Amino acid sequence: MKMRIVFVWLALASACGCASSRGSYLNPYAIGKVGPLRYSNSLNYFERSPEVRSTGYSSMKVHGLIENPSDDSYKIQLGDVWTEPKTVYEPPRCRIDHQVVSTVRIGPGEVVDFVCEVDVYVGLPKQFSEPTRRVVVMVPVDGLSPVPFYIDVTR
Amino acid sequence: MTEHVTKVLSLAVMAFLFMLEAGHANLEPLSHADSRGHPEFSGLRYSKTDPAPGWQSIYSNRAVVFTEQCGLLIEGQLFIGRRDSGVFLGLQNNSNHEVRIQRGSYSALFFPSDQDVPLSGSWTVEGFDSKWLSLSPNRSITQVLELPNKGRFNGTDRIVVVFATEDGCQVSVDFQETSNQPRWNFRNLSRFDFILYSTAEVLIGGATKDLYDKYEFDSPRGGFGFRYFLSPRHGIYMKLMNVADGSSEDDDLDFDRISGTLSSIGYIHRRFLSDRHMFYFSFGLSELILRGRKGSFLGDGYIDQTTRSSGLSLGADYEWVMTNELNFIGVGDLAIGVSVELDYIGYQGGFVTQDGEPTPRIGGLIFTPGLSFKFGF
Repeated sequence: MKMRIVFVWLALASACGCASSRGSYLNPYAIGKVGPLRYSNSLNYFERSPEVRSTGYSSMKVHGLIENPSDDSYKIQLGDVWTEPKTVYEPPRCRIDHQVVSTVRIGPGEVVDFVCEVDVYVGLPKQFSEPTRRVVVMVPVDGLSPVPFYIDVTR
Repeated sequence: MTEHVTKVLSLAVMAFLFMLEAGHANLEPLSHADSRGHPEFSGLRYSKTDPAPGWQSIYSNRAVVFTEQCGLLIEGQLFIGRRDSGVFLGLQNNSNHEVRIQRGSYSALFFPSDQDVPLSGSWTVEGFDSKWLSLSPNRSITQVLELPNKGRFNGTDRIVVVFATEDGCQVSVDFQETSNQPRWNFRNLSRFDFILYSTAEVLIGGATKDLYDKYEFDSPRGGFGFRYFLSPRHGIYMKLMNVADGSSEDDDLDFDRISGTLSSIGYIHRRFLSDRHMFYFSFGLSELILRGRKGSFLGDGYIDQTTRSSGLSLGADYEWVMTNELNFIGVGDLAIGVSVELDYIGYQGGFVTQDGEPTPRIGGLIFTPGLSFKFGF
């Protein structure tokens, strides 16, 4: 029943053109490739965007999936994850299966499923500054460009 | 005094049922989202762990399937919830030209049975016409496709979701159970039940017994009932039983025929003892309607009186499920069982004698054991 209601809601959201506003409270879905690696934030997609009510540090999580369909192995530097806008005090903490890890090797055919918690300084609209609307969590991979994951901020 | 007690108890039960329903609504919201705005899939909140443990991608050995076909970068995940199941698809056009996908062209192939089951779902993207979705380069969309009844999963170890693009390229997203776990085994859960009851004996106490003892009851007694389940365990029921249909040759009696109908309505709880054995517990409000008649309908001095008294009902049913497969009339569950119901009827209604004197009010305990035959849909 609930599933059907979800379908109806999604259909209505699409039909009324408010699908784009879905990102105002659900994280955006992203799927893409960096080199041979495929990534998505589908696990994060169903989680609500962080709501910010005041200027300051806000804690938010990103849940990412990276798959390696190639025959090579790659090293994902989860300990060197950074955010844009950048975090100042607390470095991001990334976990795999609830364990904090700094580096994970992704072998051929493997999928890495991780959660990163970041504290980001998020401003509210003021006279001389733009509010932060999207936080990008960049996950570095040795030999490749960093893999981006997105979190939309709601107010 | 007893009448007041009964009314107070009835009101209390109604209030309890109302609160129960309200509480249930909180537990299982009928909206698409919980208070935090999460979409939920059939009662299964999206988990960080494998969406469907045991089901894994052939390629990646994980529950998540990434694939590239027909110019699309595709992510698929299989969800198996308590009541329903579905597939999440994320697509991105990785080609340099527009890709068009026909809406409603999705199917799921279940192996080893190789059943082709059409899927239904919704797009979460703007800008599509009624038939085709146009996906421009680098554009992403997400979809949730509903899989059929979980009974379809029985004995299945592989599901392939297929669809085609406008230029005839076929996309297949392959989910396979590769673990050593036993195969998924689900049973069809009925949402709506229709039950026939047959009872050999109705045990009656209190003042109603004094009335009943004067009559011979030789016609079959029984009835029917409905259940509607709002969730796998919780539902509402209605039951109507013919508990009395007797006659007497004694001219001194006020009536020569008497009939009684006992109806009840309320909450029912379903428990699964095993695949074949089910147990139900119910409670609610009941009402006893008694009808007394004397003489011929067309003759002089014909008497026809009806009286009613309400009360409380407790019930328990056990069922043995004979079959759990959809059959030619679309019934999912066929079950036989035993049913018992205990009703306390308040002393509210009564008859008036030929002399114009009121008889004792009708009330007391009524116990109705019986057999049941259920059709579950």
